[in-house]
Amino acid sequence: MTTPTWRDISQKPIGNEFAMRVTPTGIDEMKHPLRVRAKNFMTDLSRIGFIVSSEAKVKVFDKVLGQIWLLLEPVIMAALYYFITTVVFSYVGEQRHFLFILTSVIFWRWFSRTIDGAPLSIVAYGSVLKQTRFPVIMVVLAFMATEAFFFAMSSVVLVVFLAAYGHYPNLSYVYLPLVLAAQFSVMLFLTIVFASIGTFVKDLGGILYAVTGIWWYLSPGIYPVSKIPQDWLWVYMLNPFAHLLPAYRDILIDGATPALFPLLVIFLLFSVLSALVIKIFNWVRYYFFSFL
Amino acid sequence: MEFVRKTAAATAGDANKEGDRGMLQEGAGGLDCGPAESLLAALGNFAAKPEELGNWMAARASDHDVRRIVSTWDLRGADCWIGDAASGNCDKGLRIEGDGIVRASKFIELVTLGQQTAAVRYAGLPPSGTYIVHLLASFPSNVGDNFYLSLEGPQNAESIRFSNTSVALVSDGAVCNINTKALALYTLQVTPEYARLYVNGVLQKSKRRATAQCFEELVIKLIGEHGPDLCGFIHGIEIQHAGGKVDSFFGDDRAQFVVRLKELLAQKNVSETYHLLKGVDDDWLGELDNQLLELLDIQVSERGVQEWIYDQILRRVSPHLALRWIETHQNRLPAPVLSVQGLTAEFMLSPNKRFALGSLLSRKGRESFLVLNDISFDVFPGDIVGIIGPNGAGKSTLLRAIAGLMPIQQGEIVLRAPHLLLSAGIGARNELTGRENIYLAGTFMGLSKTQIDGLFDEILEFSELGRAIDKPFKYYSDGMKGRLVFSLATSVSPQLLMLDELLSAGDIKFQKKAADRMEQLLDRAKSVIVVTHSMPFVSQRCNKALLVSGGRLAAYGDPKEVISHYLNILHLGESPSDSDFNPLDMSIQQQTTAGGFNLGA
Repeated sequence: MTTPTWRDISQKPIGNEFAMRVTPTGIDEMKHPLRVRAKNFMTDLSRIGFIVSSEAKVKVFDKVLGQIWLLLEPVIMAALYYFITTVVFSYVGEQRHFLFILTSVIFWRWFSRTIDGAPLSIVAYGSVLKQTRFPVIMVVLAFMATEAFFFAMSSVVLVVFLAAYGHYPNLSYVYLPLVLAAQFSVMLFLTIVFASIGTFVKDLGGILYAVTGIWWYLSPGIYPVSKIPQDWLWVYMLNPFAHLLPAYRDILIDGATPALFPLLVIFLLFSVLSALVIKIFNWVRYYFFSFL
Repeated sequence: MEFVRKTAAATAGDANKEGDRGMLQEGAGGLDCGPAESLLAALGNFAAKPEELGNWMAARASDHDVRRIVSTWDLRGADCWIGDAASGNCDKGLRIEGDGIVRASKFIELVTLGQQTAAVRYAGLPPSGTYIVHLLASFPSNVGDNFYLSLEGPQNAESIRFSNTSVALVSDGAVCNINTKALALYTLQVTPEYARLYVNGVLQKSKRRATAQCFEELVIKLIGEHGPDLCGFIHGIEIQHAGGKVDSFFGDDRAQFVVRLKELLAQKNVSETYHLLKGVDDDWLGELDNQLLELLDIQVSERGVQEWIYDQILRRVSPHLALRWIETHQNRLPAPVLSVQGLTAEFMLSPNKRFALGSLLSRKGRESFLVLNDISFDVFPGDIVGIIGPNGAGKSTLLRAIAGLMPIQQGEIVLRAPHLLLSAGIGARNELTGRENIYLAGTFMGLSKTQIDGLFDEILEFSELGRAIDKPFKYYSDGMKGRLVFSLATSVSPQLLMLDELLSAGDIKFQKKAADRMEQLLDRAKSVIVVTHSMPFVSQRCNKALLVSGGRLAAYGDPKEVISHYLNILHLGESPSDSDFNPLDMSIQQQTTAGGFNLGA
């Protein structure tokens, strides 16, 4: 007769009674009731808020130019593009050509800063992610929120110029959330994709910097869509920013209703894609550790 | 020097109790089960009449047909032994080695300064049979865990390791708590079947050996290390040999064992009883099964679970009684809060090159190495588990794997309670103030702002940062940073707390305060796992320990025995091949590793 060991005699917990289970295929965590999940979501939002304020302080505040640079940078960029297009290339566009460019630059910079920084967004929190179970998706969302905060600050300069040119809020502003949501969904999808790939491929940041530079000139930021030859228009309009930038200008400068259908398509398409990559992201996150 | 009449039941803590001698004398006189009164008398009179011990040894050697190869008590004293070796006049087999000090005065003194080594080596041993080495020694100064008495052969070795509070049979990791500062007679007896350790003629350990041992040399060695100088005194030595088996050199070992077991059972001393059972492989239990099982009832009510105690006692009692106890208690035994089963994890050799273009084209850069290899253990409510091992052994990686921070290749980790892993410098930003960093690190640890608000005053007060809390972190000294992180980390109390090297922060004053804080933290948390290099912490505060070496679980069980095994790695280079600690077989580990450390000790 073999005497049982402690392992044989001790109580065996029921299979699904666990807080967390780690296996070679991934991590299972206990499913909380909806009420708890809702509470956790609110806590997560406040945590993102705190990280954003900390990051903003680290990156901008207490610096020599600090917040001022957030306002100056888009104006300088817009002035540069204005000089190149009107003086160098003698392009005579609309009367408010500077405002036209500034509007594009403000919203594009939000996009390009976010995409360019995405590959390092997870790596930058490597030490934290190696030591805590802080959700990686929150690191990415906090990074996006920080860039959104900088965008909100720099958009103050746009408000000032709009007012200076005599453009004030009007009824068409009700469409602005849709355009912002469409742009955000594009950014969410691309940020998660590039943040994930950037964790494994360290030089993705440099590649993306070149890509967004080209993308800018392939978008109607410093010229109107009407300048694109008709034969190439169908290809050109595959670019989401061929719809987003004109939509911003329609609303803010012309006070007109933008083309809503493309915006809805962009929003829905990239929302679905974002949901999909978040699913994949939760699986990939398990393999980040070695690369952080 | 006073000779302490001390026996197997003696521990460092109760070394001067008079009762032990009484018990031994009763055993010796009534049952002939202890060392003869004459031995105790000879040891007691050793300073004045060393020849008495020589005479006693001669008589015993004659009774057991044992040849005395070397004897230093009744000739010209220990100093002559060494003196002759130095002049080359006496024993050709004797050598003094190492860069440490070996000097003869009233006794032979081995001293090391820093990382020196001091050794006395005797090379005149017969090739096989029974070897008996009696060493009369004392360690009144710091000896670390670094003094060895070894029989060495071409294939194997049998050693005793001495510290100031214990003696261990090295290859088994079996530790015997005893005050070695006082003069005592230590005997290592190796027969073709057993290795036995006696202290003052009382059997401490008797472990079976699978193969007959063949030795060529006796080595007495003190291995120095960084830190304090080490020192040990040899008052005399005798080496004996017999061609065949030698049993009961000092008396009836079995009767002596039963007397001691009864005494410990009467005291309800679970830990020492376990150590006694674990130390002796022979089946000498007698009719004490029910009393042993009563000890397990006490063990069930203790904080934490030392599985090896259950396994040892249930294995030693009658199978039908063991099964009856199990049936009665099965539902009262706790379930683990953490189960690690067959955990294996790999790291890439060069992760940065994994997705480089050259690596992708040449299909290289995928080389990996095992960082954790088939590790299994359980943590129960109330357990305080110490993880020890050399740098780079995989200790911190093990904690990270448990916390779900890295992928694993094989096995399963199941946590059944909320957990928190704490390590130094969680996401602190130099540009932010101490106050802001508390909130930021708290956020990363999973706390809400409200929770951090509630802890803030306590953290501030404990860290002693005062107005510096609003200074940027980059202007903090390392000590201030350490204090802040330690204060934050130890302010929370999850059910399963994992600490990675958090036991040293700040100056000596703060470290004392930190130690007290750790005590409170350990009391609050239901279970704790600590990665540390602090052996005193593991031996005094942990109820179980893991030794991780080369990614493997090299030892698991009683903290002092696991530390002993760690010392084997540090001092002897590797784990002995015939060790009981088999990292691949959890059940064997649980049956054979000793346990029973009293947290209150």
